[in-house]
Amino acid sequence: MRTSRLVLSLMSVFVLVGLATPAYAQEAAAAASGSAAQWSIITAGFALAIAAFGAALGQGKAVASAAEAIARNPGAAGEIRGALILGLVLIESLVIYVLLISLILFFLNPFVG
Amino acid sequence: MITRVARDAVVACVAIALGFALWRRNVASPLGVLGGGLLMAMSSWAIRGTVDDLVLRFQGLSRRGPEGATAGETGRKSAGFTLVKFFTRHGIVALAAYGMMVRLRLDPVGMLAGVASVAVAGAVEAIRDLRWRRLL
Repeated sequence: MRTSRLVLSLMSVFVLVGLATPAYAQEAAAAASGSAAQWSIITAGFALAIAAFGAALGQGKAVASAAEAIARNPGAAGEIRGALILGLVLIESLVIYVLLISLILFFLNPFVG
Repeated sequence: MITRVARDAVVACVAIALGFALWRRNVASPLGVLGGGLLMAMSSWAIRGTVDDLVLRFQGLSRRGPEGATAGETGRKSAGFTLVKFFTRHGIVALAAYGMMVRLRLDPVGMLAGVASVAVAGAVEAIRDLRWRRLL
């Protein structure tokens, strides 16, 4: 009895969700149709995420290698530090490019008349 | 090397700003270039401070050897402080980028060119290094 009531309530929830989803989808499709602005915002978000992912990977690898090198040869710490800072700054500059492009797409959207 | 690259980046940024001023004939473009250069300077400042702290930590650990764990408490505290400083500085960079682009309405293309000044400086330094090696 209790199980059948649970199944019945779950089925009703599924039916409600199934009815509601196409309605929301229609509204969203109507709002998003032909709107380049929305796509540019999505693109900006993805671009920033991918840039942050790649930069984090690269910077993590650089720092790990530098830490290992300094631990092996502490006398060369000064030169390793210089190379590490330069590498990190160059990687960071790429992320700042993407940040600026994302800010352009978010706030100064050239696709919106 | 870092000092030379920083000096080259400043020179490149000013040169690009002058080029933009002559090309676009307005104030927003060269200011945008300088703003982009300022963003890179702030980012470099954040990275440099963090790397300096990390290198000092690694050097200290390698000098102390396996018994370096005795300084674990203070080391952990200062590592946290280093991380807080790093993320705060990067937050400032993001806020400055927003302020320059959205509030001050600086030229976005100019800002991108200003950020590129550090890459120009790196390229100049690489070419200089190659030339010196060839002469030697």
